This record gives sequence, C-alpha cells and structure tokens, in this order.
Amino acid sequence: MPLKPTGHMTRWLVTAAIVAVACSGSPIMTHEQLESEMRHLRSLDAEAQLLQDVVAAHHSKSRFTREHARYLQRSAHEHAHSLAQARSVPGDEAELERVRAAATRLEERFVALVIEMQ
Amino acid sequence: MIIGVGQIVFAMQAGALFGYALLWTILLGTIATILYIEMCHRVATVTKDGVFTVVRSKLGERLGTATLAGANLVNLITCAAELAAIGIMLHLLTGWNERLVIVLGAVVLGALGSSVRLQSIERTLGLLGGGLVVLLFVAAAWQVSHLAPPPTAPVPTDQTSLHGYFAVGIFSALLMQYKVHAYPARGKAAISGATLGALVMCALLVLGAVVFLPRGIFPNLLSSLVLPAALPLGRTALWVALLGMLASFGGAAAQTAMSVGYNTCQFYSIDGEAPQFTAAWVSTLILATLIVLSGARPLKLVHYAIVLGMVMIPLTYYPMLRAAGDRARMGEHATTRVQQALGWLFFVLIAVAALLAIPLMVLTRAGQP
Repeated sequence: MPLKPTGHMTRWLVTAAIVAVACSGSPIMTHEQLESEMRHLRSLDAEAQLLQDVVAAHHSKSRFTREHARYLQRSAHEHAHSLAQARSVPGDEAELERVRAAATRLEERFVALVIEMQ
Repeated sequence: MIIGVGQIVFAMQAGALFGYALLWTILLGTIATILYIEMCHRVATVTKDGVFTVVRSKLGERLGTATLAGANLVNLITCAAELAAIGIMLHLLTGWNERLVIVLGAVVLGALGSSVRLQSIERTLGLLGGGLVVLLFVAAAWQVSHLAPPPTAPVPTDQTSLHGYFAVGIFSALLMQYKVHAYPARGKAAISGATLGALVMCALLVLGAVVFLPRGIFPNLLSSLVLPAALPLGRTALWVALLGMLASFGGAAAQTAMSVGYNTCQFYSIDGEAPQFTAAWVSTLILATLIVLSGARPLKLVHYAIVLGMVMIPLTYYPMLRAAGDRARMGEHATTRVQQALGWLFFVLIAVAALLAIPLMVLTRAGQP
C-alpha cells in the first residue's frame, strides 16, 4: 500500500530539509538574525565615530588607535563574510541584500580608516 | 583586588543595552557572594575543610566528581578568556603579534607561579589593577556629572530574554567560583574584595550606560571597553586603563589556573604543596593557551565561562550551605536560623538562575542584541 504523506509527515520532512540545508554550509538567517546583524553593523559604525572623537580630542595614542581600528575592520570583515555565505528565509532576500551591502560599505570604510590611522 | 574579564564585559554590555536597569542584580549578586564566602570561611575555620572536601562529603563520590570536573572546566575556559584578553591588551600596548604575546603572557605567568607564591602575584597584580579601579571611579563620576543620564525606558518585550540573560550573567560574574574557592580561610579579605568588586561593576555599568547607550554602541570588542576611560581623561588614562586591565587579567588567569589545583587537591585530600597541585595548574595554563591559540573568540569564551559557571554554582553552594548549618560538626559556630533561611532563599535564586542560564544563552545567541 503506497504511503500517503500526512500533515505530520510533511512537517517532519520540511524540518529535515531545513536541517539538511543548515548543515550544508550555507547558514539560513532568519528575519530577526538579519535585524541583529544590522544592529551590530550600526554599532560598529558608531564605535568608529567614538574612536574618531577620541582621536580628535588628542586623547589616544597612535598605536592604540591603529590597532583598535584594525580590530573594528576585522569585525566588519567577519560580518561581511558570514553574510556573503548566508541565505535568507523565503521573502527576506531583499533584506539580506540590503544588510550585505551595508556590511560591505562598512568594511570599505574601515579599510580607509585603518589607512588613515597608519 | 582582581577584576575578571567577565565582570568588565557583562557590566559594560549590560549598561550599553539597558542603562541602569540592571544595577539591582549587582546588589543581589553581592549579597549572595558575601553569604557564600562567609559560609566557606566559617566551615574552613572550624573544620579546616576546603570547599571541594565538603562537596565530596555532601554530594558523594559520583556527583562530587562531576562537580569537580565541571568547576575545573569553568576555570579552564575562564583562564583561556583571561589569557586571550591579556593578548589583546599586550597587542594594544606594544603592537606585537597577538599570538606571540599570548604565549609570552602564559610563559610569564607560569614562571611567576613556579617561583613566587600566589598571594604575592595576587598582591602585586592587584596593586597595579588598583590604578584601574581608581580610574574607573573617576571616569564614571566625570561622565555622570558631565553627560546626560541615559534614557530609562522600560525594556522592550522582544528584549526580555536578553535582559534576563544579562541579569543572570552579572549574578554569575560576581559569584565566579575561582574567587571564593581558592582561599576559604581568607574570609574578611575576600568579603572586602567582593564588595569592592561590586562597586567596580557599578562603575563599569554606569560607564557603559553613559558612554555607549546614547551612541547606540554594543561593545563587542575588548579594545572598545578601554575607550570610556580615555574619553574624558586623556592619554594617560588610556595607558592606566590598558595596564590596569592587563594586570587584572593576569591576576585572574593565575587565580583560575591555581583554582584547578586547589579544587583537585581538596577533593582528593592531597597536600596543597604536592606535585599534583603544580601539575594541575600548569596543565590548565597550557591547555588554556592552546584553546586561545586555536582561534577561540575571547568574548565567546567569556560568555561560555559565565554561563557554565552559573550552572555549576548550586552544586558547590548547596554543600556549603548544608555544612555551615550542620550543628553536629560545627557546634556553636553553625549558622543561625536567620542565616540559614537567608542562605536557602539565595539558594533558590541561584538554582533558578542556573536553570535559566543555558536556555537564555541559546535564545539570545550568547547575549547578542
């Protein structure tokens, strides 16, 4: 007798498919995770502004400024890298692209900041 | 006094996210810590038993061994987090390769540990860290008097888990076991240290609230945590903050490594000067160095150590509570009924926090807003 998929089975199959995709190396980012990524990027941007304020007030040593700018750049790079590899849930493709673009812009800005602080 | 990286990270991140809203957890955590230290001191003075001697007698061989393994794992992760933080501070101070300075830091700590008594290391590094403490208070006072207070809006409902996670984290950071277990006989000094530590955490939380929150910064880098001191007080303050943090993290790394030795020796009734003690702390230092060199993220290590630490606390708090109230062994020095009632009340709080710690960590992805 052929096996008919029931609602219960379908749910299990969908869950198994999501788990399989999740384990395949391309992490799926939910809407909340994308929002969280955006908050982190805004926070990094604000941190760079704080560093520039401290430098403008002559309250920082050049070595500290340079190395902290490098840490900021590394962090932005990691966000951009993980977003480049991520996939969104259906319907959030545009949001993922928007966050990716923001991460790339921030990384480029931080590269410039590191060069400026050399 | 020694300030661990966990205290600095959790207090500043909590201030950056929720303003002053979590100050109450510092008060609660400090009362719990003082109660715990007082019980450990009371039992050690009367029976000469260390914490893990009591753990073994009250929990039995099997659960006692599991508790020892868990506590030593927490110490190992904490030691790794402190070493990673040492590497970052040294890198910011010298510009040298981060991996190289991590190894250098571990070697210096190992050499100091084998040639000087732990109390001397602690005293020296604590004195250097004292500069940081003074600086933090001055910076916090300046910021509060010159900048507008952070908004005190209620916590958004979608951030309830995050609020709970940081409440549990601050509670755990104050109760971190390596600060209590290594020196049960130094009750009064440990209680003063816990009180000063709580005040420092308040200053850190205020700095997070006043400097980071209005700018929308969630400080996710250790190098960012130095900036609130530099902002009002200038270059010298930046150096004092970097050196003070370096000294504090060095002291905490030494304490956590040696705490593994003390725990193990107490559990197996081995003399504290025995080769097993040296083997335990040296191997902890080596393993922690390898964990950091493998590329583990410092802040991830901090969050794992704090959460696992919270899970383990009831398993050492409960035996001490029972032992301190045991009239048959403690006689007239057993805790009074009021002390026992307060102890049980805090045990319930600690148990609830321990049960919530891992689910909150999963829900918030280790405290990510």
